[in-house]
Amino acid sequence: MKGILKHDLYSGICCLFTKILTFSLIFFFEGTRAVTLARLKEIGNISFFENLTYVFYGCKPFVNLAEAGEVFSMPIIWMVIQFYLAYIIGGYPLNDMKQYGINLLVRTKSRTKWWFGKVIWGVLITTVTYMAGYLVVLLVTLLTGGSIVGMRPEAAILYNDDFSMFNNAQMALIVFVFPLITAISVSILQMALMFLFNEVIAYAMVVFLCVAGVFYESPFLLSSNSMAARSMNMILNNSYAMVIAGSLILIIVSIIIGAFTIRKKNIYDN
Amino acid sequence: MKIEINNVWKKIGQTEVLKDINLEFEGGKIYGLRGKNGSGKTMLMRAICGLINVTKGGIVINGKKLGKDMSFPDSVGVLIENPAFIDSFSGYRNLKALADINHIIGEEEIKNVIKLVGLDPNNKKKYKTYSLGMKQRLGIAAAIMEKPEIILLDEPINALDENGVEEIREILFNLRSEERIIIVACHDREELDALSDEIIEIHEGSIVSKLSEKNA
Repeated sequence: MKGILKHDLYSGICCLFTKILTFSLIFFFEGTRAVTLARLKEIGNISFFENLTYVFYGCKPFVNLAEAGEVFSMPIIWMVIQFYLAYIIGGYPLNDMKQYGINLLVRTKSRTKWWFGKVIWGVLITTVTYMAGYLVVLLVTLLTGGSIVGMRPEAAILYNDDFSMFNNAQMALIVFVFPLITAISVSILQMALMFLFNEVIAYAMVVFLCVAGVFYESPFLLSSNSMAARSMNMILNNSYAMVIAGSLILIIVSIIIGAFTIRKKNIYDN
Repeated sequence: MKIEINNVWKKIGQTEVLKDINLEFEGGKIYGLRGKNGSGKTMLMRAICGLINVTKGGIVINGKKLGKDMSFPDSVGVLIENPAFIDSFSGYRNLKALADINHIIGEEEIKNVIKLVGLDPNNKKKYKTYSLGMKQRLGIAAAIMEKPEIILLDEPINALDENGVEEIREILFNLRSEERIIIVACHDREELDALSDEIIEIHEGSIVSKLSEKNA
């Protein structure tokens, strides 16, 4: 297991440096946009939490806005973040299995161990990419004179919702815990689907989950839980524990599906 | 050491890539697999090393059924199609990373096997800058370094020059022992004849002939 992990840490994380950098550039772009917008709207320097809320705001469900006759705008950057992470996740495990992974499989003699290695990789790569993104937004905020915590009512102009009612712990749930745990659960699901079907179908399913989550609200459209526009209601309704539990259940189910699939998986190139 | 392949069929999609294969491999011999591209040589090797599950029949290695009593053979070294290593590691570092999984061999043995296949263990060049021949040699080194009971080499002399081919032949002859089965797939008829004790010819997933080298 140690050998598998060492390999995954190196080939699956260190060698993906460029992709992680590209991912953090999306955060840089959005974080800078939030700072610029705040200056244009003359609300002063925004905090790290306000900036992250802007990055992860997402949108209210299209159907709800349409019913209320409100304007809907597609959360492009939120979607780019989800799609790019899915692209990173989709590129490594199956390729590894068909190439270097063969060396590992015949030595460890266990497909299950190899799969658990990939699960750990999935958790780590998702965490590392998000951390890189957070770090970039933090730097952008600090360099432009913003503080770390604090949500002001006037910042509501950036995303049309007032988050100033939430304390720092609740904001940490909205901007750190929900986006990260949702991303991890969707990544592990994508990996399980990859082995069950193939990379393309797995990617398409993740894209479907994200796009459907933009238009509708459902506990099954898990990706949208990472949107601040949605998770603020979970805090207000006190249903956030259910959301975290839902993500953990999805992770466990995906791990089990992956473990069974991998045992019967034929390993060949085409 | 014995491998029994009993009535093995493998179907991928609508294509039967292995059809009713019955073979027996015994220790102390080098077996050559001959056949055109797509004849099923590589698929048979993948089945023997546990990378694919057969559709019908079974593969028994030393009395243990593959896929039932074990997922992979207890002791196997493989080079299937192209060697795959970590691009930014040197040859030595790549083999060390693999050897560290089971700790059967140490640094000295790794250096020796690198020398044996004609590479320099102290060469710090990254794997991605290796020539095709060097990559092939390193792939062979990885397959044989832990002295496994089963060695499966798919087109091992690809990209090797004449000297290289001779060196690899010598290495395989030296590795031949009662405790070891060596199976080599090769498109070069002459080389396979020179290397093998027995030659198995595969055509469209079926065994068409089994010949000892003298009769091949």
